[in-house]
Amino acid sequence: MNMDTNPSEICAVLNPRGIEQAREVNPISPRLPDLKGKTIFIVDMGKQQSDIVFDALDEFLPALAPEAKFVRRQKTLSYFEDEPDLWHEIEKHADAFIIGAFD
Amino acid sequence: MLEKKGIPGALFGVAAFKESAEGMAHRENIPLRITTIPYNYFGDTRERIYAEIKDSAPAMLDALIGALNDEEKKTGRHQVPEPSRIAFEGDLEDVQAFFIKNQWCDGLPVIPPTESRVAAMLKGTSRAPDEVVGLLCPEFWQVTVEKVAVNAVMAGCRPEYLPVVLAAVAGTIDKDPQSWIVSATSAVQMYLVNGPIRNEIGMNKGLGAQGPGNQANATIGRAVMLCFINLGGWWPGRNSLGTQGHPAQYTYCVPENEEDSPWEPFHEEKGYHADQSVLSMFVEYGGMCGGCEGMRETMPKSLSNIQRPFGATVLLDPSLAQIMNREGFTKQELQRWLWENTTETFEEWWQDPFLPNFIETYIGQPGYWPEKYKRGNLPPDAIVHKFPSPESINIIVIGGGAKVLYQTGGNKHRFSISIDEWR
Repeated sequence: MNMDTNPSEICAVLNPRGIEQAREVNPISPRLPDLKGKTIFIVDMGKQQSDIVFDALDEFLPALAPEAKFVRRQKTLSYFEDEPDLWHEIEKHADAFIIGAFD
Repeated sequence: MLEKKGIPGALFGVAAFKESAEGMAHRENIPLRITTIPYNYFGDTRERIYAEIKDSAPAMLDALIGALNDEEKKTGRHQVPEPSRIAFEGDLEDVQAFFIKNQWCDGLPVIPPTESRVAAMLKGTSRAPDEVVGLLCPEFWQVTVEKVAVNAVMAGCRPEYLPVVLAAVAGTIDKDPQSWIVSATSAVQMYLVNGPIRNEIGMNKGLGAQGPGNQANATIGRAVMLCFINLGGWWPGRNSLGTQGHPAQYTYCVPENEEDSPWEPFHEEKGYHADQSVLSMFVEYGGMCGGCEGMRETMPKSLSNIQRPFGATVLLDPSLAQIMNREGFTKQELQRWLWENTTETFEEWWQDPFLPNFIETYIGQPGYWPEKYKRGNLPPDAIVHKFPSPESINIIVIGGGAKVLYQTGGNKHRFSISIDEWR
């Protein structure tokens, strides 16, 4: 490699960056008008100590929204893996969902 | 999937990771409302976690109701213009400043990737410059052979190193498209080279193979990391939450010393022939995770493996330091607790291979182990402290609070000196 470079010489450098891919943009789904009578699944992804987080949610969410029904679920597979059966259950029975916790 | 089926949801997690979660949502085209918990709860007490979740829970419910804002209603196709071929024109200093300002390098000076240097680098491969290698994590941007060559020039590679760099990038894309180096534990990816290319390109496979001094060893690993930065979009805080980082993330490529090994080389174990040149990648997770209780279990074990126990250094992420402080530990109390809990039998202490004629010359001297540690002075099963004193265990806080963890090293403090005197 020719390393001879006059430090004050002007050089043009190629762009080292990769090419971001085009993607379709989807809107998020419409929100609920309210929580009255709604079934909300709360889903634990299974990160370390998330059981305590979800124990707390079990206590606080119904207190904040007594008009809603909360159903707790835990992923049986790791947080890396897809879990279609769980998503189908939520699709069938839930009006909304809360999922966490990323860290 | 659920959002696309019309079921509104909220994703929640640690605030330090929010930007990373938003980036992933955009990239995967998974529209989400994201709420946060202010700090990383891992390792903390049940009472503290409950208090934090109590404050954070209302926002989770709010995310399920109400009108969408304009950003949330957007549809269509998101297209980013292809980067210009020439990124910049300037002198050597201007080029360095440009790359650093745009977060296009690792903080070290780069070789300006001019047309002529990149053309020379491309002679190291038979592949066409415009051949698409694939999409590289974590942002899954498109990689071409030429783009890898540009980053190899920046790293200081010679053309004959390029096939190794290309193999590392292609291997990640094809065989392990997860970016382990975004891990909050500050994971390190080690690249091992086997086969004839080690000698062909002059890699150092002997004394100091993992250390500085050899251009191939040093620049190949660096080029791969620059590829992750520039072709994969890796960057601390944006999609990498490695809370403490790791020096080996700058560069870590080493050849196996096949010639001096009594066993078959690693690539032959994996089904390759001896005369094939092969690259293998290994992931090493960084720190030890765990809150106060976890630390009580693991930290003494980590320190107990240190040879030449003149001292030790424990690097705590600030999140762990704060948890331990809330549990009642001052720095001095932690030093004493670790000293008291890193004990072994006198016989085990004397099994350190560096004891005879080296460590033992320090026994009885001020600041080291007392006279009773001399050979034969205690019964073999007497319990002794591994380290000379609590103060010999150094406690240092390093990191960004993204993960409750620590790293240890057998590092004795040698000196501290004024920098101010050198202003």
